[in-house]
Amino acid sequence: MPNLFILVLQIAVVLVICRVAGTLFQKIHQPRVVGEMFAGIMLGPSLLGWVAPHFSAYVFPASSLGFLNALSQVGVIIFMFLVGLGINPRELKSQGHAAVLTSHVSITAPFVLASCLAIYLYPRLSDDSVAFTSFALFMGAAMSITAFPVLARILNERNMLGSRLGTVAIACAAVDDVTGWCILAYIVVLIRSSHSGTPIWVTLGGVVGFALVMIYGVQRLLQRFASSFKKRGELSENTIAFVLVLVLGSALCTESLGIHLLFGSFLMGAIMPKEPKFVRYLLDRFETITVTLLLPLFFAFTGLRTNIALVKGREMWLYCALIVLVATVGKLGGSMLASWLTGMPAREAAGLGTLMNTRGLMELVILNIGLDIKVISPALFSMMVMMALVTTFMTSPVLELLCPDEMKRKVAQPAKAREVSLEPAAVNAGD
Amino acid sequence: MSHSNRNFAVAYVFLVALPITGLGGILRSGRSLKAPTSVDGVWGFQATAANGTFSSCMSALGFDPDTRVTISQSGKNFAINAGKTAGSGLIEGTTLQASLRPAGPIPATPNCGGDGSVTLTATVDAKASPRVLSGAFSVTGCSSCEPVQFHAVKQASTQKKGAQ
Repeated sequence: MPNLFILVLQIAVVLVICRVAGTLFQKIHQPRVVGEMFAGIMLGPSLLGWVAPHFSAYVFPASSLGFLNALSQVGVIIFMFLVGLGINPRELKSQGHAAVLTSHVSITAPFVLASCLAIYLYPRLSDDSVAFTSFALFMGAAMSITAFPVLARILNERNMLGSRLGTVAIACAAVDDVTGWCILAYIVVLIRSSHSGTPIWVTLGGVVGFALVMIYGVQRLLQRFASSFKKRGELSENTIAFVLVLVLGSALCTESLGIHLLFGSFLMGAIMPKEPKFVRYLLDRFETITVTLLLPLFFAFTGLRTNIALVKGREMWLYCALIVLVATVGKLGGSMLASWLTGMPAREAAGLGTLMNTRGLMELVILNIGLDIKVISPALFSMMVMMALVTTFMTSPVLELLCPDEMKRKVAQPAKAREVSLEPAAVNAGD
Repeated sequence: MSHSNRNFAVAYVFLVALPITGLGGILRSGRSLKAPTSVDGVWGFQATAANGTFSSCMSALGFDPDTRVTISQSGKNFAINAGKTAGSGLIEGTTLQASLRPAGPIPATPNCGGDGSVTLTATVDAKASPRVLSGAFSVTGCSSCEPVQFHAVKQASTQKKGAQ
């Protein structure tokens, strides 16, 4: 049984610290989510556990963390549904060749560079119970992800969602996220199938079959929800509850198929009808509790697993710096080069690269999966969390530097702008 | 094929297709790499011989050699937690060396000397399944304390791990 007093105390402490940090970070022109990520780290052994070990042990005793984790995971399941909900495949089509090339390069460049780095890091930060292939593929997937919700939030705050830069960035980030999660699903299947008696092709076949059922079967049912919403302008509480049950059911299916709960909820969001008003309506129903209550718990749980003290000595800090460098060169450099080659002015291409380099919350979700399946070690996890913080934190100031006001005024072609289904207010997930 | 389509195809081949092909080579070359022997996980320790002086010093330091010990490994480095004592260590090949201290203030141990820490030296049998550790605990700086031999077996993990 959970100690209810401790659990409520934990939630209260986490909420207060996250709200304060979020507000302070907003004052320095950072999205609130960046402050909340930092707050999570502060609550862990890296700061609170180090400065006030007795208080930390009282508020966050090891025996209580299972309950905090369970709550935070429910939050991440709903959050991944919201991320999938915000992704619209038509956005990429509307952007043409430039976005296709940029999005694919922004995946392959960091992926390949991360795999090269894995050759250096594997003998130093891993152990022989992890196969090199799993390690390298995970590093690649973790470095090639873009935080779609944080990116949308930054663009929204700078009134850049309708700009050419904003629309290309959103389209590329959507492709990156879908591709990144597919690669991660494969890695999880690869790792888990080696432990279970089930052959990998059976698991993969099950996943493909499930995806087909979702896309060609469940999606039609969901379309009815959108039609009903169109007629009445709202959904009944029962329908909302049913949507939630579908999200949880989909999550349970992917978990039992041998991948992860989060893939199911993400897929459910991705196949939801994309009518802007319907998307906005669902976001309004699910977002507040998820973003204000459950996600801060996830940040706190991640912070409690992050111990910067594990990164000790010059050698370890060198590895950390290399990770940040490779992640930035791969993502920022790759996106910038591809968009510049497809005709985007150099400065604007650099702005796009900077935006694509935002990893934020999505990176933390992936890293937690990596630590859970033990494909990365605790020290590497801490280094990757720092990389996520640095790359997310640098986005706003670098963008400020690179993107003068006139760039923000380059509004996309009206025909293209119509394709962007994410309304400014509809992208607060992760804020 | 139009000029822009040709440019797109060329750029796609050089920036996407070729790197993906290269990735195959990277993964193949990485398979020959050797990572440190894994000691990560929970171990059931059992003392195979005990000495009276050591036992009293060890008890005073809050250390129990017949206990479950958790090792959290990051490459060659690892953190070790044995209930009331914790510390860190290093693995070189199949040899482990770690230093453990009481979690709280170090108690007065008049006949033990040293700095109140216990040193663990062990070798891991990587071929055994489950893996086995054998070695000795010694109280650092205690000349009158005999080391205590131990044998430890890795406990089955409930978590799945990135495997071979």
